[in-house]
Amino acid sequence: MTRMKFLVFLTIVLVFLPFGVMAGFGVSPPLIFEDKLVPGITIEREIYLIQGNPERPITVEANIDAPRDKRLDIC
Amino acid sequence: MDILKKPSNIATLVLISAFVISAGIVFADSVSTSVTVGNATPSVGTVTINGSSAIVLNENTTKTATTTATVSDSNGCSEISAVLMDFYRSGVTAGSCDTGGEADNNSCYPQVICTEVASGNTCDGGVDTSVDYECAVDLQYYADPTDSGSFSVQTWEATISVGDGTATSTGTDNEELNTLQALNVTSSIGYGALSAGADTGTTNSTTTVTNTGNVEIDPELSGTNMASGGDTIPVGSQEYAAAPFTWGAGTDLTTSGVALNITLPQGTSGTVPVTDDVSWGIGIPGGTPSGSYTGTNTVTAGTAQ
Repeated sequence: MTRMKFLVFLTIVLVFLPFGVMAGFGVSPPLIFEDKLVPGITIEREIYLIQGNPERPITVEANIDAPRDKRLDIC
Repeated sequence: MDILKKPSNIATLVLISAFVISAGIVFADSVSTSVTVGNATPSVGTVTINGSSAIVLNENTTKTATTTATVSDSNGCSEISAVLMDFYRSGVTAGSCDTGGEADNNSCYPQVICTEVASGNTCDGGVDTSVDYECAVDLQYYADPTDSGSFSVQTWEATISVGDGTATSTGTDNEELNTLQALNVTSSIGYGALSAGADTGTTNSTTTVTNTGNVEIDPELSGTNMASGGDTIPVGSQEYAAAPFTWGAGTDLTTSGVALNITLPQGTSGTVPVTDDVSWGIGIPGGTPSGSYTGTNTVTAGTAQ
């Protein structure tokens, strides 16, 4: 009986709980192209982070994937 | 009275009397006037799509984009009987998007009924000849983008038609519609109960990925270690694949995103929702302490390979 209880216990504690995955989410536009930059120019572009059905707040981590050039500042 | 004895004087007197009498008589009469006011063709003035800003869609649902137009009729704005909008990707052309049968959620929204604005330049009747109209169209999340991709040299155009029952005229404007890269995933992955040293074998959990944007995507997968108190199961213990697999044959999950090549194409009226499944498995390292382990897997929409 003691052995049976132990096996049941192992089974229960190794249940891997479902882990959360964020639901619907989008970015618009996902890419920005600027191929007509001249020295000294400042440009502003808006990127929208979109939840079509926002049921709860979500945490957003934004990474800028842009050319690393010391002549270019991205804020 | 000797003056009357002279005939010339009598004649002069008769003439003067006649003049005086005639000057006192006014001959009155009415003159009818008439003019035919013809029908003036109404005209479309300024047309503005979405406040002159690029249109940004909503993922997995519709986005209402409003176009405003100033229309005029020299006979009075009250004579304007119908204002309609055809809204289409420019490559479709106005002539191919002006009947209901040509509607296409990707590229053509014809015959949108416009309504007079509630405030501002309303039609006040009388001599008021100008009035603003609003045309609201619900764009699907998979409408063709024109800021990049196959249609980057095109735009979305609105052709406004105004009629007064006799004549019509049109006016246009154009605007970009932005790319929307988006997805939706089912909310959890459950591996069930496993012993230390065991794996899921041929039993897979699945997540369903849905393309909820307007461009084809590949999902990018990453994750964290699963934890239970201070104990962990390394992120690489989880594997995934585009089809059911036996644990050991899948791709190890990593902390940085890796694209899974299961291209989810842009949707159309006949194909939405565009979905695909990702299969998951896990192997529990030997010596893993018992416990309830949880972690977070992240699925992001990446550019299709």
